[in-house]
Amino acid sequence: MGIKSKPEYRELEFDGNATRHVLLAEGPGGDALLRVLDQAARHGRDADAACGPLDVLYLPSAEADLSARLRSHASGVDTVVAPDRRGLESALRRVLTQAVMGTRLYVAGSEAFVWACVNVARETGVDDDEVQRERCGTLARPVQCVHCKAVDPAVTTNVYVCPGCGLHVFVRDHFSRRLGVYQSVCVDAEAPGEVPAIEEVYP
Amino acid sequence: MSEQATVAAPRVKPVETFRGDFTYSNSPEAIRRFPFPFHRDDYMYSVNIEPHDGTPPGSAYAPAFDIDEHYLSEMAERRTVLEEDPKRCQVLPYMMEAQWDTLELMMTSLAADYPEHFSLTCDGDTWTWENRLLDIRDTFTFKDADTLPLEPFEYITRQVQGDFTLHGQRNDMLYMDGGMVTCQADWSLDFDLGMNFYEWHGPVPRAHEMGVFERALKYLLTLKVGSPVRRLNWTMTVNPRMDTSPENYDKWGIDRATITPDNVGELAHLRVELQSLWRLPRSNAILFSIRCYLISMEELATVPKWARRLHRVLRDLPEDLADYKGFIGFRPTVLDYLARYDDGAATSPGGAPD
Ligand code: HEM
Repeated sequence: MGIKSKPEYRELEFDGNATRHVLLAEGPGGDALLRVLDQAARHGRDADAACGPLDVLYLPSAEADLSARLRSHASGVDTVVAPDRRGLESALRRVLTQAVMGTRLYVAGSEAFVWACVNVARETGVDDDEVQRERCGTLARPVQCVHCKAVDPAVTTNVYVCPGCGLHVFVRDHFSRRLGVYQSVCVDAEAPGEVPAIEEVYP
Repeated sequence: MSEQATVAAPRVKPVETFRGDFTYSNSPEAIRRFPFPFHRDDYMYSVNIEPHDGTPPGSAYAPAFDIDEHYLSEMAERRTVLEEDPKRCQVLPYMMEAQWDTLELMMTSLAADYPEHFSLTCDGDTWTWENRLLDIRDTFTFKDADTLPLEPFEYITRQVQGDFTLHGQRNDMLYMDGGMVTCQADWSLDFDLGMNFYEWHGPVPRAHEMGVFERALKYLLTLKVGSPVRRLNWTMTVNPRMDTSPENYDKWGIDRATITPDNVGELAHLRVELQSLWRLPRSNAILFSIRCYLISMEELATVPKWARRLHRVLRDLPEDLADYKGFIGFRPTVLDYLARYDDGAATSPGGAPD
């Protein structure tokens, strides 16, 4: 649990009621997609029906590259391996412009990745609730400094030095889905120089 | 909307400051009408909502939107904040109808409550708005944004004391879809924009578990046009500083370390928000008005009942609330100051002075 604005994540699960499926992952999130693809294949066999078109968009990361396994998993599945975040986002935009009612999105990866995808989907009219989200791999948080608004996409510590303004800022649990970031606030404003021990709490 | 007769024409002071040399202070009349928020000697979160119905006559609660002696100062402060940080005023694109609703509600209310200061003349869609306090006179076409110098929401909220937020209602939920937020108690409009009712209240301790927000939301979802409601919220602020935004916390946080037994009466302020909620007629959105009042401990202590009661409320306030409200560090100093005024005598019910 956490405060109400802190997002929750859960294991992706194939949705047999959907008419179209868009699967997105970064690095170790590829494992979650392989699981969904297994479920889709089983569903096809059990229901004796095709599960509707299925797209896989994958971004390898330093943590893991599962592109070969994803490519070989299922024939007849459109698999795009993107070179970078931007490439993946524009592939997602392309897929979503052809989206139909009943399209489901499945996203797995770091929090920064998950919310970047959710925000692209939202721009094209997909509701947050139609997107399944699983956090995989790093617990690093995308964080915005409330003072100068600079975003650090992967903060692993309770306190960090803001790359924008240089203040020591503390990472709160308060999360903005619109911006896809947690909020950080000056940690020593009331006692300048008194910075608590910096610990890796989001490894 | 309030009866004309209930509202006196407020005397308006020349501009005082809410930063730097902090020249802001309350006249004896402003102290008497301060919306003291405690009806008893203790405090806990609750669904404290009541009709905003023009009562009691002559009080700060009576007008739709209270204009008082600090009008010019607060409008000047708002301009300064917006110059430094234009993102303090943002409205999501689909809220244009709600912007016009807000402008209409504020113009008609101010003209009715304060005819000496404001007037509105409507000739079909051609409206003329006059604000004699700020020396503004504009003729525009209602619902044609190109005929105003600013978008309607920003145009009018630069002329009314208090922060304002706009909330679309969808699927039994309210969303933070816009606002003018320059005198807030430590929350960020830019960050909270787009959040739902539960999310933007995320940082508040206890109230979620107590079911306060669930019941409050349920109540608001059925709010009716023409039947606004209000509630009070409060905290403590050091110096009469309006802009206690998180954006500038790195600059004002240090104030909390400056409180001493010698200056606490002058520096520590009770900050009260008179919040009113309005269903808007065309957009079906809700307008939330957060009117902020500041009073120093010295000024407050001129009303013996208030000093006595505030001493007891602050003394017995649970740690988590004092911590959330940001005064846990200087609470002992404030308590020592107020204890001098607490003779143990019983206090009368209600918030009004004896
Ligand atoms: C649309 C209407 C409302 C808006 C826009 C609003 C907004 C806010 C915001 C932005 C905060 C600060 C949260 C933070 O720390 O970041 C807050 C605090 C709070 N709100 Fe609301 N609120 C609304 C209605 C209500 C209602 C009806 C209640 C009734 C119980 C309520 C109870 C509270 C309480 C108890 C706090 C904590 C205040 C403190 O201890 O200082 N709010 N609200």
